[in-house]
Amino acid sequence: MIDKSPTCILPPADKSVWAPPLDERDLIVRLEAAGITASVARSQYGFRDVWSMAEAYLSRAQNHKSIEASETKKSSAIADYLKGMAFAVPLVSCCLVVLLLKVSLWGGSLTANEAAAIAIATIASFVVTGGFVQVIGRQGHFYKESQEWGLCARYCWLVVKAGFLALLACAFGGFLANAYFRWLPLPLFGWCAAFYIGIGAYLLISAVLYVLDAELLLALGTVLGSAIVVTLHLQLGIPLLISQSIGMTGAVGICVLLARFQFRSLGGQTSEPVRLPPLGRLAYVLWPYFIYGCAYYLFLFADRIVAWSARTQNSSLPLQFRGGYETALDICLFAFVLQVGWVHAGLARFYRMVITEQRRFHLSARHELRKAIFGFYRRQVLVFLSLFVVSTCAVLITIREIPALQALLVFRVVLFALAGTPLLALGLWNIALLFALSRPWLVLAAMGWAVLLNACAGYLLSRLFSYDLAIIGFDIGALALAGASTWFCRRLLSNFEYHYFAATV
Amino acid sequence: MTFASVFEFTRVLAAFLLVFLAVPLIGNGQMGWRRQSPGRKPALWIAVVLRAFVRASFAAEVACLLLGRATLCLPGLMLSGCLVCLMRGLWIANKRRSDLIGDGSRTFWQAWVAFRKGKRSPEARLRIGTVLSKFKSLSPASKLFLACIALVLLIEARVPLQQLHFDHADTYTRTVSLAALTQGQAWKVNGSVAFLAPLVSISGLNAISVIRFTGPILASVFALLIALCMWRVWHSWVAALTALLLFVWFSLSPAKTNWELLPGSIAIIYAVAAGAIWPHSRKDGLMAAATGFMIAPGEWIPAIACGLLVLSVLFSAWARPRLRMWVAAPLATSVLLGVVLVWLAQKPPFRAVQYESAARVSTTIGDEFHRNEWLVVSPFQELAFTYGQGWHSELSEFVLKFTPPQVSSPTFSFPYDSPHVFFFVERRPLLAGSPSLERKAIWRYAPAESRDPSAFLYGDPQGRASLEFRAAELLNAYAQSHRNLSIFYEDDDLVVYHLGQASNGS
Repeated sequence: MIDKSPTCILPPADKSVWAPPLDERDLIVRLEAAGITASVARSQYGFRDVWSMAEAYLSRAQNHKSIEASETKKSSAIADYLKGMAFAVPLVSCCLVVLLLKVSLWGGSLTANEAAAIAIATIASFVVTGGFVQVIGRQGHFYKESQEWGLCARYCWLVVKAGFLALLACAFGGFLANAYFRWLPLPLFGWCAAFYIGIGAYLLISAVLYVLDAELLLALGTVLGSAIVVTLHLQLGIPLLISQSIGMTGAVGICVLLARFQFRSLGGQTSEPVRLPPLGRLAYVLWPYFIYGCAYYLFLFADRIVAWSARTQNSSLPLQFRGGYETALDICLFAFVLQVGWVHAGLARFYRMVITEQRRFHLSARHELRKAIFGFYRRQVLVFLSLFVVSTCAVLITIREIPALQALLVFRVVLFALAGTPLLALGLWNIALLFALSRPWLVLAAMGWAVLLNACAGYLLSRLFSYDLAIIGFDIGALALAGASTWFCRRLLSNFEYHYFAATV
Repeated sequence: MTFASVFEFTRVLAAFLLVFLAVPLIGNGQMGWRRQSPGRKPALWIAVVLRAFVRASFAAEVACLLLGRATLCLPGLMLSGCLVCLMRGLWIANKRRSDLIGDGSRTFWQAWVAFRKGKRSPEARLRIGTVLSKFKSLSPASKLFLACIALVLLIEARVPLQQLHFDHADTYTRTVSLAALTQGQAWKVNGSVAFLAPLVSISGLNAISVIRFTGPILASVFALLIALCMWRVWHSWVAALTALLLFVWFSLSPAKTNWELLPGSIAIIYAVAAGAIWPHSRKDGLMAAATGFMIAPGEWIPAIACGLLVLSVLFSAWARPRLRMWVAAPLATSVLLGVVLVWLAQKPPFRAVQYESAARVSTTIGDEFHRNEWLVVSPFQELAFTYGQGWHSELSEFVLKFTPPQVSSPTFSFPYDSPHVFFFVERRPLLAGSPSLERKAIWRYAPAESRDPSAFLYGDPQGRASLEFRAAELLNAYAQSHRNLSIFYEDDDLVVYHLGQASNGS
């Protein structure tokens, strides 16, 4: 039998809007919404039924003060923006480790063939786990916001296991394909598979830590994994690939432990049985998001695959890692992080704005509401534009000021990639709105066209002219993504109140 | 015959069936397992299958000729083309099926749910059972027909399953051309290999294996088409079976000369296809004739064969209701037999151009060493085995470039960037172009060709002997002062030296 009171009768811990129950009936509704049926009330709380439970708890619940909307925690735009960039915390920590110690969790000073194998492993792991990461984020945040930590933990670990199994299955499929087409020599394929599984597991557990808002813990796991690599490789002289494999395993293990600890501290790792919704229902709801997750990473990496596989007749592998191309894109990644951070901030502002504007306008003033929504949309686009100008200038100045960097990258790729990043950021902002309005199908359509155009244009240009022109495929794809998603968004926003209501339902 | 060669043959056969039958059939929305097959009457499904083969061949030939000119005949485009075709077919078939599953086909998820429901329904089990029972309920004549086709394939494939080298110098040139085409390199147009490019991409094998195994497969297609024409002329399975058995007998008689197909022979296959499909569709008949023309543009025999076949099939169709069959059919039959004889006669006799051991060692090197990390110094024929996998240098260039005093210097090193260099030196210089590998064979070299230095070195017995002797002399001189040269392979005919050197970072 549980001693403590059910959480639904108390003000929420995150200080969101709450009012004490009006009467017993109100409290009964709240209890039943929280899953406390007559049998639960009897078996777990020792009451005859929900009515008697509500009678007992009513006075206690009414003693708490209500929390008005004005009192709720208001986060600043800067905080939201920083939160939006939090996905880059492991990247930043990896960069710092590389800058200080010249060794990273994966990659580094490798032979051309090893670099190609690790590049394939990295891309494959992102594409395969992309869908799982997306559905962990989607449903995991839902459970987190509902304070259902038991369900959240159960769900996250279930998807992590499924993702890991998918990684193994794809590795086996890759082994068969490699045996058939003879892309990589067997030892190299072994390293490729090992890194693919390691990086894939790291990405899966990263998604769980993001759900828990534990980016710092993720950074800690990453730094500790890097420390293992540094110790093994630099101190003990163990070959880099072996050190990185052990370091990667260590990082994943540490992150798993930290995630478990975090769940335990939040009350998610209890021995009480929690039942997830039927898997078929979850799959039905989440599969568009799963496809989007895979397609997004396919879009991000399509130009790399196309560029690295172009004109490889003289190389020892059918895919050649081209450092100049990769360095150029890595530099532009910083500009992208600076721009895409606003997607989260913009979305948070969107939800706040919608609530405010809905209160402001009467039912008959729908036209004014739409005007306000479009105004908000335009202001966000202007914010993206200004972030694009600032981040692009920063990247170009950095390249100009560091001559050693200029020798490492293909400048043409930098320019084209910088041109594509605002389009991608705008596309992602639109996608966030489309998801907010529960229109994943429109997202898939836009992303499908983007991937197709990216791959086709990049393939033709890289084969006909020069390998680095694959980046133009990225630009064309990003343009398609931004164009299609903007069109879909404008269509929905022009009838906003209907679509918002439909999404809420 | 090894398991590897059987597996390679299976891969080429599967790729051939996929590209020339499955993709065009599915791409057109024809799916037997969905009860969308044209029907059980041979006259119906034969026309559909033949049309699919002709259209796929025409599309592959035209597309690969155009893409090859733009150096874009690459595996990615080939696979994408096949995928697009399959997706189109699925889309067409789903549109046709919409009445079966209603609106459920609108989304992927709903289609999946409908599929799951359909799989569990007793109706679906009945359908799978019907498909299986279709195979079981084939008539003895049909089973015999299938067995004959399998027999033809087996007989035609028996030589390429055992030997790696080719019997005709032209096949090496075609192989190099196909390899260049599928590698996206500058390509001199060669219609006889263009339509085979999708097979290289889909089978995942190199050009040499595809050329080696498409000969038997195309020969089986030829036998099938002849049988089909006979069936069309006589309207009798017995006539078709007799034609097939006759072909088996023809194939068995000359043991070594009928597995490699030259462009003219391939063009005749499409000429026969044009004759077979003409009564059904003139457009497809013209497509088949055009494919044959593109494969062997300069040859007039296939064009004549095509015209005669079309005329005889048309005459037989016209005469059948007016005259007695025994009057109408013999003319067409004699034309068909004439085409078969021309087809057999088109194959030139065996001419030795490469030792089997040289072909096997080239393949072994390709299997054992990393891509582009090795170089073979040998006559031209090994280029067909190395193209796209490693580097190749002419033995004549090697011999003319270095001298024994130069290479015997301890400070000398060969200016090759590859970490592994293989020198193919013949112990018994091959009498290139002779009808057998025996030493006492009659020499058929034309003295006028000796004006060309490489023709002299490779073709003339004295030139070849001096070439091989000089190569051996150079390598012996090098080995006296260097330790990085070893024997990789040797037999009575051939020695392959392996030069291991530090990579210069190519």
